[in-house]
Amino acid sequence: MNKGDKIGEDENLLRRVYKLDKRYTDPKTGRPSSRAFAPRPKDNGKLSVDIERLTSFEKSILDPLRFVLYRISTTLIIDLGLECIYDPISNEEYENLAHSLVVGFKEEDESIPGILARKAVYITYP
Amino acid sequence: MKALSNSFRIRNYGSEPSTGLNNQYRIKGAQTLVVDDQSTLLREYGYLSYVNRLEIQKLKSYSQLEDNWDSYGAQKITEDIINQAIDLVGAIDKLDEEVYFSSPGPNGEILIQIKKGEKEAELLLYRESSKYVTFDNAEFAKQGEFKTHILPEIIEWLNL
Repeated sequence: MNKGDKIGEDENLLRRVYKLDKRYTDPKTGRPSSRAFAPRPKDNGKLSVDIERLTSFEKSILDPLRFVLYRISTTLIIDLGLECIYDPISNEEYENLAHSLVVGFKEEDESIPGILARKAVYITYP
Repeated sequence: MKALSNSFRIRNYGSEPSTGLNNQYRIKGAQTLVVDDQSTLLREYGYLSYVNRLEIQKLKSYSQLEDNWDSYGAQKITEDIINQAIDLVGAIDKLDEEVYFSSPGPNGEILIQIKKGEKEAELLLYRESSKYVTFDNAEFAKQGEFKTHILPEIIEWLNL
């Protein structure tokens, strides 16, 4: 797979969610807030994820004291009219060959982060 | 004009609700009065339900968040957005509802969520605009631009 390639259906993606102070977590259910799946300014409207089969929970979570992982499928991404693009990162400071970007968010469409939050599956790790 | 001879000024309990009702009231000085279906109950001005008061405290705490508060570049939540959110909680309270959950967002927005059974409404306050999204049984139902005047319509849908 090369940088920029579209990722097809039947892959699983891991999304790292900040867990400190539980601001992105519904305290009553433990479910993530839609804000955990909202693209952020530094990502230019793209959602950063890892392809599960190219990484491990240990690598993907980076710091289990600060983050939790959620799984979403590329089938869902494609059903929502979005695309997942392979975007490996490799430089002197950091390497993540599983890194990918979910693209195609429309500014006027606020439903996507909420749908992703409701369909995401919590990964029990460690 | 309707007579208000059987009307009462009421206020919220100061303690945590324990019955599952959204808002609880007590009648001030009502030792000899009877509240029935002819009564008009007036909420005391300025009182908020316990849950909504807690939510406002939580919203105020968002002013402590600096840029990059989630270590992934999240933007600071401005006082203006916090004040908008506090006003919205007040509007929700006036409709006898409670906020289920609130959350700051990475783009400087605030999410206010209301939930009734399997129905949920997400009210999103951004610097430039406000939006709402509704979900029924975890499935997307509707979205649009949010204005305070459509809040009763959203709450009515949640209660259907």
